[in-house]
Amino acid sequence: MLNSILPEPISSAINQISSKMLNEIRLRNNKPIQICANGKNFYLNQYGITNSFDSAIKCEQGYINYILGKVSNNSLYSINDQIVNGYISFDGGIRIGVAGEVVYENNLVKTIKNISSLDIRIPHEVKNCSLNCYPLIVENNIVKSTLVLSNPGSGKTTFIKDLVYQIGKRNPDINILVADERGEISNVNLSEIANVDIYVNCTKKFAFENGIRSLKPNVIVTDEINLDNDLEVIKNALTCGVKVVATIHAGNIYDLKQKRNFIEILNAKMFERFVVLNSSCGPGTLEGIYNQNLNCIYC
Amino acid sequence: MKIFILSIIALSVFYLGYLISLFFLKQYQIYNELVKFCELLINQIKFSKNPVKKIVSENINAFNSDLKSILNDYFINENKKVKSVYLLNSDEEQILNFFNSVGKLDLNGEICNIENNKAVLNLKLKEKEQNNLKYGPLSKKLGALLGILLFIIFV
Repeated sequence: MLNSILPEPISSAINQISSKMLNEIRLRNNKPIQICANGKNFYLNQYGITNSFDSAIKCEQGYINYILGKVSNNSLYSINDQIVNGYISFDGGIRIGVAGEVVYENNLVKTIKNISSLDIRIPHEVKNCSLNCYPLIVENNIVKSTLVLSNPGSGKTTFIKDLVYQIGKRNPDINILVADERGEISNVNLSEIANVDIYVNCTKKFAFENGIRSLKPNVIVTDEINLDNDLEVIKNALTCGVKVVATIHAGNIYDLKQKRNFIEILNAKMFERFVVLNSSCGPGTLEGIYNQNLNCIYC
Repeated sequence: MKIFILSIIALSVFYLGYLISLFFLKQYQIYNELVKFCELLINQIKFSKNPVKKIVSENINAFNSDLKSILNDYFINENKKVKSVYLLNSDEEQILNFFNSVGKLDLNGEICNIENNKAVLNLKLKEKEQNNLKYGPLSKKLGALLGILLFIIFV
């Protein structure tokens, strides 16, 4: 799938690297191409991974344009709604961050043009990676509202993908709604799971409000919440008796406490579990699980 | 035997005249279809934002065989070239530049780009229409006259 969007010589070079190791490919115009493998940064040369800046393949604007053409089916306008949010979703849960010249119209972002950087993030399915947390998140067939936090690239999305699978497999009575804004959570194999509904490429507000109204979920799973924009929909879901499992960018509990509106979450005990991940032993390393009072219950 | 051969020659010359008239007619038809293609693109992009390849593959049978093969070659097979026996090199280059410019902009930019190209193609269409009206019947008549003349001279 990745080979279908990468130009030569990048495609040949990437084929030298084990796909299980590959986390990210970073392309910046006129700069050496960087790879993140097993949580560490390297350069890419024709033979694969290298630490040598000089032997690395240099990214050209043509490579970036080629990739944009492939992911958009040569129709950039058809994915402009994603580009204005700074990313492009591709098949298989691949997410491509974009950077370039932002164009405003009436104070709204109209598009990003002259795209000069791409960050291709490659998802991985790590079966059973959430199992060690599972007994603390699901008790007596009831899911506790859980917030999974870590720095970017530390395995939050991989974790909740597996959690959806585990909850669905072990608790067929629990109706799970996946609010998949960027098409990243739902690419996991859910063919064995009969109790999952999925909204893809929609806002959290739409998924939460319409889902609760029409799909009667017991738990809603979503990725990358923003405490400024998403707090009301989450609060509404919780007051409707729906549990929420979500991820948030925060390096640790201390960083989480600094976020605006977090005090409201803490005081209202909106989330019963906080799962902290890091990359100390590779992405997805469990640092600790905290309860609604931020007391560590598993460290 | 001589009359038979002269008849063949006369018919061949007439056929040549017909082919030349067909050349002008086909050019006019291709450009006419191209303008319709622009309108289709504008409508589909405005209302459904479908990728160009999908628009072309779903609607390709609505076009005549000449434009169909050009669209198939460029958009479906992604050969990125425009070739037709009925088009001049300058026509092929113009159409290739148009196709190359499609799909590179945001929604408003894309619509504007296609509208601009449609205006240019419309001008070319008028030119091809004039050529067809002028040279189409003329080629057939000249072909027929030349054929008959050759027959008369050598019979």
